Amino acid sequence: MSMRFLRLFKRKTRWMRQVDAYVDERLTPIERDLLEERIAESDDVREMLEETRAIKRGLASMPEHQPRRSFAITPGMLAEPRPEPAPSRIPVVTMRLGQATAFAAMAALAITGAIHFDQATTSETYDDAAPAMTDAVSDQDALGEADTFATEDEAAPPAAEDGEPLRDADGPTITGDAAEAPEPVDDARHAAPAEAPDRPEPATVAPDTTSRDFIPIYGALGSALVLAAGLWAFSRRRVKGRDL
Amino acid sequence: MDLTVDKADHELILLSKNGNLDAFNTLVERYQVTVYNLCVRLLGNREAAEDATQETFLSAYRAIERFEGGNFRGWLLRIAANQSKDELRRHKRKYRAGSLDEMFDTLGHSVEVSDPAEPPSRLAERAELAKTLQDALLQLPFDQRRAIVLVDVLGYHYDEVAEICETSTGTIKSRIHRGRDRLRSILRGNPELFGAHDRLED
Repeated sequence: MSMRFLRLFKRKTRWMRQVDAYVDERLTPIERDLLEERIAESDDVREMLEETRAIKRGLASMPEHQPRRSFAITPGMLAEPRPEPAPSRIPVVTMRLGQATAFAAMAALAITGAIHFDQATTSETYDDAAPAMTDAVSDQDALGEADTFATEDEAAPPAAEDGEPLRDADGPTITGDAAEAPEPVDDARHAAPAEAPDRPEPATVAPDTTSRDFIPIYGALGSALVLAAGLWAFSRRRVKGRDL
Repeated sequence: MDLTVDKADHELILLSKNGNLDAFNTLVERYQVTVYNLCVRLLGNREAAEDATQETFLSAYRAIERFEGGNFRGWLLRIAANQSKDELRRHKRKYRAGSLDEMFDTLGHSVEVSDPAEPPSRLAERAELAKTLQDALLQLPFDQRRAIVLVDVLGYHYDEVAEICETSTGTIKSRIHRGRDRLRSILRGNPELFGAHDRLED
């Protein structure tokens, strides 16, 4: 039902526009023929056309007014001060309120931004540490035993009985009593995070909920700024128009 | 004898730019009726229209150095429309319905001057119709009123009106369409008046 009404309304608007163009002789021959067909069929369109013609004719026949005096400029007129600009349609109080809102919004935006930045930085520091440790553990699980030993050796290179570490032909240091060495994997789990292998920084996985909390505040402040900017632009445009 | 009278607009504009007030006043004499009629139709009040017209020419003289050539009449009408808008804001309370009657008291005289052979009854009808139309025009938003006055009352082309209003031709078409639609709604309350006018015209 509503769609039908909408279609009818659109059709009527289209015919109204066509009627305006017809009266102003701005239609192409094809459009004019179509409209004339429509006028012959529809009483509504015909009535619309008659009303539009009557208005146009009436407006065109309005008498021309003769000024009661000359508007020639004298040097005295040029010396007179220019009249005050017309008051804005927006009351002065509203303009001032808009400006005050703009300043308040800018200040609040700066403060909120600073707080948010501070919180985000703190949260990032905390989040950076935790996943790094977890990742180190899981990386160690994935590594082979040799690597684990190597890591262990690097972490705490044991000394031989004579004080010199023993070296294999291949290079890696072998402890004096490897069997007695503590369980490498378990120890690796307790290794300090700083000893995690040099790999690219892990991505922060914890969702940053603080950003979402700030969205309405930023939205409100942004809207206030847009409103104030609109008021300012409106007042500038008015003054510019007058100066022309 | 004023030597500037026979000069073309562009010559007078050039002289005005060099500070020749006589040259500019020749332009004033040429365009004052056009400017004044636009102001009258936009404001619906003679005194306000006179003030707006005077201010238009003063502003134009002060700004003529910035005129870069082209359509001088369009440039003047743009200033006049802006001045009228300012005047309307400045004296919004002053120009209420009462002043309209005062304005149209003299309208019969204007019609008589334009066509002395016209019968008094027809003069009265025309004056009444003009008053009704002016009243209806004043009920339109300013942008629609300006477009309607320039196109339907003063008879300018859409392109020139778009230039005066500093907008596109499409916007002008839209304003004209909405303005006429609104006028139809307003004037439907006076069908007998339109009927009488149509009969007279036909």
